[in-house]
Amino acid sequence: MKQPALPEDELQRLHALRRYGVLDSQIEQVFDEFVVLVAKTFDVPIALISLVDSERQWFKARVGIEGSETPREVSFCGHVVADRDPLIVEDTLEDVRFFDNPLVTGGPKIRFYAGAPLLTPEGYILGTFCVVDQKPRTLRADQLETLQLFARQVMRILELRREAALSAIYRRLFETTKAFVAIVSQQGTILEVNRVWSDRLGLSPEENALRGWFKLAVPEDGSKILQAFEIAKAGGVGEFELRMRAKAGDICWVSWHVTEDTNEGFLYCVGHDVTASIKAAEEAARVARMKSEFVSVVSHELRTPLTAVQVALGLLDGGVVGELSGEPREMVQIALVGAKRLARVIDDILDLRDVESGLLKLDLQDVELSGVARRAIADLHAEDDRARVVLEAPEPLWVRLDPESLYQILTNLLSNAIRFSPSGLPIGVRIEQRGPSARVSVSDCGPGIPEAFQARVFEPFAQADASDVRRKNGAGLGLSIAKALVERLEGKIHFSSTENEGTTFHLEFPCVLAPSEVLQ
Amino acid sequence: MRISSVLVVDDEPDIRALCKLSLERVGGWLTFLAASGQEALELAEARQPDVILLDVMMPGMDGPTTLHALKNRGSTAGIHVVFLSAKIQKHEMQGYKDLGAAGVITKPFNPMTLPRELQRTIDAELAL
Repeated sequence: MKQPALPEDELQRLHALRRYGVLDSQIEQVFDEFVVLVAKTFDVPIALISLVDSERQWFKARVGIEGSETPREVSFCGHVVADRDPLIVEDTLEDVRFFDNPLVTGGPKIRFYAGAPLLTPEGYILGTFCVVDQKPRTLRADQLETLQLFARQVMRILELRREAALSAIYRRLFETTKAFVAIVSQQGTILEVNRVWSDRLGLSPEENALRGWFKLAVPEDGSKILQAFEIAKAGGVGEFELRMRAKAGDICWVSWHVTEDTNEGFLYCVGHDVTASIKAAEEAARVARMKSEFVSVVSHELRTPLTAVQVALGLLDGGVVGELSGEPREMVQIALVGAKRLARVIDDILDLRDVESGLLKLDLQDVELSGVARRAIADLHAEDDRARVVLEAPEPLWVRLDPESLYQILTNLLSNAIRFSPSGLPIGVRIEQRGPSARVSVSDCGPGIPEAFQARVFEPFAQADASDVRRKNGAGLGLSIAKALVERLEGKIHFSSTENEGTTFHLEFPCVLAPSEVLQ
Repeated sequence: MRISSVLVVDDEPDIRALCKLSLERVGGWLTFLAASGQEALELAEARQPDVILLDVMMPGMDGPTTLHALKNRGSTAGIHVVFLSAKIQKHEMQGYKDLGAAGVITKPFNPMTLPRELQRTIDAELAL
C-alpha cells in the first residue's frame, strides 16, 4: 500500500482548513442533500464530502458508509490532496497503491474510487468530493467534469458561510471593543461609528454622523483632524488628540490614529479615551504648581519679619543704637545666630524647590573641577577658621556642568563633613579620573553613617539622631539639595561609610576634553 | 563717587526704619524713605539722591516697574538703583542688571556692612 504524501504547503493548508470552522461541525442538510444527489447522479452506493485533517479524513457529509472518519494514511482522498489532481481508480485490485489497502481488503471493500479536489480561492486543497463503488467502474471525462462541478459548489457554500461568519465576528469586534471606531469617507463624512461613541458621547449613531467631526470636537482642534486625514491619504498613519464634547457637556480626550483602506477609499479611525490620564497629569501639575507657590509665599512671609529681626539685632550688636556689653550683648548675639540659621533654612527650602521643580536655570560650561573645588574650600576656610580641608587633584579634569551648582554641591558636602568630623582632623577632597568619568570624593573622619540611616541620608530634613548636637548649622537639607543638583547635572552621587572611621561622598560626572585639547 | 544720600523704597515700615538707621548711623548718609513706587518717583525727582535702594516685591508698582519709570524720566535716569531682594538665582541677577540696576542686595542684609556694600556696588558699576 502506498501512503498519501504530505503536500509542501501542509501547514498553511491545515490553517486554511481550520479557518472554515467546519471540522467536527453538526450534520447539515445542504451537504447531506449534495451527497445523495451525487450518489444518484453517478449511480454509486457511496458518496462523500471528505476533509483531510492532519491525521484523519473527516466526512462532512456521507451516504452509504458507516463512521465519520478514517485514518489519513489509508485514505484515498489524501492522495488527491498530495497530488493536487482528481484521482480515478477504476479497479483497486489492479492498482499497486491500493490493492492491499484495509478499506479495500476489509469494509467498505472499495473497488472503484473517483475524487475531485475541494480547492480554496487561495489554492489549498481541503479534501474531496468523491464517489465510491464496490465493483470496478470507469468514469468518462464529462462525468469527471460533473463531479468537479459539484466539488466547486460545495466550496462556494463553505466560502460564503465563512465570509458571513467573519463579518459577524468583525461586527462583534467593532461593537464590543472599548476603543472608539469610525469609518469615514475621503471627504471626512462619518459613515459608521461603534457603540462607544453613543456610550461615551451620549449621541445616537445618526446624531454622530449628522454632527460630524468638526461639531463634535472643540473648535481649536479641528485643524488636527484635517492634517491627520491628509497623512492617512498619503499612505501614513495620521495621529491626533481630540477634545470631544460629550452630550452631558464634559470634555472627552480621545487619542486617534487614522489609516486609509485604499481598496474601498475609506479612512478607518480608531481612538482611545485618554481623559483619565490627561486629567491625572493636569491634577499632578496643578498640585506641583500650588506646592511651589505655597513655598514662595510662605518663605516671603517668613523672610520679611525675619529680615526685620536680623537687621534689628545686627544694629543692636553693632552698637549703632547704643553700646551693649556683657550679658545683654551675649543674648543679642545668640538671637542673631538663631536668626541667621533660620534664614539659611528658608534659603535651603527654596533651593530644593527650585532644583526639584526645574525652576533653577543651569549655565552649562566646560569647567575644570579643581578650580571650583578651590573656591569652595577657600570660602569655607574664610567662614570657619577651624575648618581644615586638604585638596588632592593630581591632574586637571574637565567636565561640562553649571559651575555655580557644582560649587553649591561641594559647599554642602564640605559643611556636612565638617559637622561630623572631630575638630582638628582634616577633611579630604580628592579629584581623579575613573574610566570615562571624573570623580570628586569628600571624606571625613567622623563616626560614620549608622547602617539603619543609610537609606535615608538624602531625604529632606533627615537626621541620623534628632538630638545630635552636631546639627549646629544644618536643617538636614544640604544633602537633599546636593543630590537633586547632581541629578539635574546628570551626574551620580553615592557614599561609602565605615563606623568610627568616617564617610566619603563620591560625585561622578562624564569627562570632556580640555579646551586646549579641543583646539588641537 | 562717594555716596552721600540714599532713597530707600520698601512697603514694609520696619525695613524702611532699619535701613535708615543703618545708612544714617553706620554710613553717615542722608536718607529719604518712600513706601511705594509712586512715592519713590516723586521723591527721587525732588531730592535727587545719589542712590536708590529699591525693594523688588511691592504691591502695586513693583521694583522693576519703578526702575523702568525712573530710567525713562530725564530727571531721574542718571540715579544709580540697587535692588533689595530675596535670595536670587544667578540668571535673575543678570535680568535685573539688564533692566538697568547697578546690583542687588539680598535680604536679610547685614546692617553693619550695608553702606559698604552699596558703595562697592556703585564703584563696580562705575568701573565698567
